[in-house]
Amino acid sequence: MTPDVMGAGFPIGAVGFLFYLAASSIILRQGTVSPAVAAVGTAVLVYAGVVVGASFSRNANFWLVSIAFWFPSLVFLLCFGAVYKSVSLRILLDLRARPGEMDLYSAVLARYVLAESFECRLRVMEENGLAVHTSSGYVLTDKGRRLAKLASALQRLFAIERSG
Amino acid sequence: MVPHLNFTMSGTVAASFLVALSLPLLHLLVVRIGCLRGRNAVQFLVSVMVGIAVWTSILLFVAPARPNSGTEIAIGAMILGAWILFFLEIWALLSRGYTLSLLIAVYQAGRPLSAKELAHAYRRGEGLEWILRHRLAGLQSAGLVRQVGDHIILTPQFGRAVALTYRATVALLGLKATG
Repeated sequence: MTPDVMGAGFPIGAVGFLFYLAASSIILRQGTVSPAVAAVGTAVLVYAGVVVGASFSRNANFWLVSIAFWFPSLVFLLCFGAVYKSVSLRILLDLRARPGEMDLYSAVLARYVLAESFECRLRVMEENGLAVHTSSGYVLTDKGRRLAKLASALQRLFAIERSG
Repeated sequence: MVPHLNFTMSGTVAASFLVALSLPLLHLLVVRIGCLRGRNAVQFLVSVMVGIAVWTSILLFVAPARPNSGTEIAIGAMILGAWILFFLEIWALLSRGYTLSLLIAVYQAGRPLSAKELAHAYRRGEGLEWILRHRLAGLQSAGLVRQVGDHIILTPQFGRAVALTYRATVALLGLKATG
């Protein structure tokens, strides 16, 4: 791996990452697709564009372009996931909005855990076609059953006894 | 201009990919160590630490993988780091994914579950209150909240700072709903 090859690949991947940040923030603000799909889908599409762009550059190295793009993108996706779906961070924000920045344990449990966050997850299951709500309760769709079966198998493989 | 990409890989980069890709296999061995049974987060940490130790040893002692410059070490570290983050995302989803756990609860029940039954069946019968107990324990040990009697209180400096940073990040990302 010669220095000029390294020099060509790295900035292309880094600029690609900055473009990804800008594109995802615009798409997230539009709110037309689910935030998780927007964040991951934009990363994959921008990466494809970066690789095509890099192929027109003088002898850019594929691995360097890829790692310069994916390392910061994965850090961003990890932080995004925490901000978007973390129950713990949401509890902090909920407490911040309460008088004296405190609340009863039972109130947090009833208002956020048993209502808001639980209902949000039930909606996510339905909106993503994983489950349907029938008169007898929640029933998994074929897609939901396949996903649950795969996740259970992976949990057994990695000795994850209980999740949540 | 003819499109062309260079796919050559130095020994350091190749070794970094090899160690990174073998991390799930290493984790399969670590989860079978008796004294770590049931301690999922510790198992993951041990796998990552062993992976980093193996990577360092290969770069130090295997001649073809020896780096020629600090830049090559940094690139190798980024390759390993990127794969660790990717593996962490998948592992976190499997071990802490809330929606996935609800899905598995319905699957394991083998029959339709009402919202109330689902809330009770969560985490093999521990119920949704487990989430609050578990997350509060984490928040308390991180010094973000404290519990006084029946009340949960945001700590005045660290807790407030994290809550404000979180709120600013949500606004920056333009997220309409979180948590």
